[in-house]
Amino acid sequence: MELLLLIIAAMFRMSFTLFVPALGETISQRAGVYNVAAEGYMLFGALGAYLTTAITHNAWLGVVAGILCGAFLSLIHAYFSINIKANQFVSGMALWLFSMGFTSYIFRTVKVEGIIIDGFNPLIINHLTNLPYIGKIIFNESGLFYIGILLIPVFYIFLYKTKLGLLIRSTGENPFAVDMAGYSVYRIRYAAVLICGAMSGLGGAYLPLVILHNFNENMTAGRGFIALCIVILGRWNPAGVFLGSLLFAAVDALQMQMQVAGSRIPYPLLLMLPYVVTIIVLVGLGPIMRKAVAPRKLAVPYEKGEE
Amino acid sequence: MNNAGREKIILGRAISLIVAFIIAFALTSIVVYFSGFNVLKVFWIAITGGFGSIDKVSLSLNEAAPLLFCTLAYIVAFKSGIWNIGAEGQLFVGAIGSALAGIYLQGLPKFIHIITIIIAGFVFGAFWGFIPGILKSKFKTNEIITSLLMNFIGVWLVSYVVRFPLKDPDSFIAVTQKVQDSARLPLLVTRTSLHMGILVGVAVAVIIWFIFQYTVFGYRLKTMGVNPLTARFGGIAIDKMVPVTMIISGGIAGLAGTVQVSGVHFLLTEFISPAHYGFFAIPLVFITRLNPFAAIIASIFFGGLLTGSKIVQLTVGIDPNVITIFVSLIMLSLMLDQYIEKGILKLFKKV
Repeated sequence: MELLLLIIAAMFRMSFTLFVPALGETISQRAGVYNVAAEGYMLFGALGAYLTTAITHNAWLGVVAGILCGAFLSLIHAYFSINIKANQFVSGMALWLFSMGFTSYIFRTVKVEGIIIDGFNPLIINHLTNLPYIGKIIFNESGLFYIGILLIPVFYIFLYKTKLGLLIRSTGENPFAVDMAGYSVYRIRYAAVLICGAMSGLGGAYLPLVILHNFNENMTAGRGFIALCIVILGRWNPAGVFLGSLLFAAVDALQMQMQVAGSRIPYPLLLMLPYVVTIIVLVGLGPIMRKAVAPRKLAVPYEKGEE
Repeated sequence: MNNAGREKIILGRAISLIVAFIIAFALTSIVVYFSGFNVLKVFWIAITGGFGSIDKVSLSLNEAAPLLFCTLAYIVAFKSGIWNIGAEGQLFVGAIGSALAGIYLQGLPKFIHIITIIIAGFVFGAFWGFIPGILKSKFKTNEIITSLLMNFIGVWLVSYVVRFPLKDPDSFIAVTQKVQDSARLPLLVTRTSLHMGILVGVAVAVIIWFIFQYTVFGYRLKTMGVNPLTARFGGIAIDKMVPVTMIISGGIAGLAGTVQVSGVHFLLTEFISPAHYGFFAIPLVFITRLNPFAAIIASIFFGGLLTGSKIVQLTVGIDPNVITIFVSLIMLSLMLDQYIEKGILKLFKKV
């Protein structure tokens, strides 16, 4: 029972690094832009947050830096995919490679004092944290985690109940109509990509600030790519995206607890698990997913005045 | 198209490539400058350092070999319109195959043993490529995502293999036993480290060029790459061609693992792809514009740059990741290509 609680608590804690980038990716894909480099934005966010916190000793500044770093990198992708109309996959791969080289380079070149950063620690909320079961699962998290949870309804309402949300969804389906209605397709897509970059940066920042209190080269370990799969799995819907993230976070949490508990399964095989499950789920849900409608103009650049 | 027009287009491409290099060079210089290094010194050593002496040329060509295999693997897939991003994982799994054949097959004549490890590397890499291929054709799964995820699985698989079933019991670190002497790739020049990997790579490049240029199979692949719908109406069984292409592509990437195991390390470790050749090769594919011969030149140039970057690290102390930054920036600036190219062609028309 104790172990199960630990796994569920870890699942919630880890899910942040998946659903936050996936929410951003949902917005940008709804507007018609694929961000393959979400992994890269996350790496940038992680490094930015780590360095800022290590230097200023202020974790909230670290969060802001992480968001800005992710958004900065996504701005480049926005330029290439919206203005230059380059292939969005190629641009994404290039930015991902760049982020791997750049973050490793900066991490090795910039020397900061002390390696471990304080970051965020779990909040102790009187009464709530002491509740049986539930207390340990969801009321023993960092402040950042609760902000992330709040973002899910915020994104849902934003996407489905606001005018800008409607514009974003329309831009992915029929940019020509949006253009005819007098709105700038370019601006909407820029905004959507920036949201994706900022959210991925936030998701990346969570790793050094909350989970590891440290930075490792390539510490995001493919989470950005798994987030891409989650968006498909969640049918481009914030609520679905959250459920999908919980599934993968559960696999991740299970894998980590098995390592801690000294499972007899060799640990490299456990570390493979999230990727194997992602592929199995993609294949298994293939027939259902094909019915789920991707935004019609996903990854198609818009030329002004062209239908 | 007449000859003069063709020449202009080639010249346009060459100039746009040079412009991309200059943009990447300028941006990387900013990074180098702000980390407090002498920009010219760093780049001079990085570019010339890999070709300074016979030993350095050997090292550079040995770096070029896995790069060439990975680039060729991508060329085969991309030309056929399949986005295999999994060369890194295919390299690792191919290395497992060659290590198995190199360690446990004993008493074979050298010639036969070398052929065996090459086939083993190809088959294992091909298997790793086959998985995303068959998933694409049977379940319509996006091969970009599956082949990408297969990278991570492949790397952890090697980590597992060298720590558990194949670990050398006499060693304190996670390595396998050494491969048999008969499984070591022959050297091209005695008293250097230069193994025959680069020659095999050149041979594979020629074969790929021949297949795409002169065979029906290659023509079908190309048609599939240009327009899958036309290919289907033209009677090409795409469902069969996709896994076959992925087998070939994965197999070629597996050979990169073969040369690392039996040409460089002589055993299997987690560090057989120190420069992440499988990822490093992605920009190279775009630089070469899917031309196998250009891939040979590009691999040798960037192989030299990888060696050069190690020498810069030793002499100046700059981190070799700067080369990854440089290459990814070339890839980014190449996307401005069409604009530069159009501009140049316009200029030609005016002249």
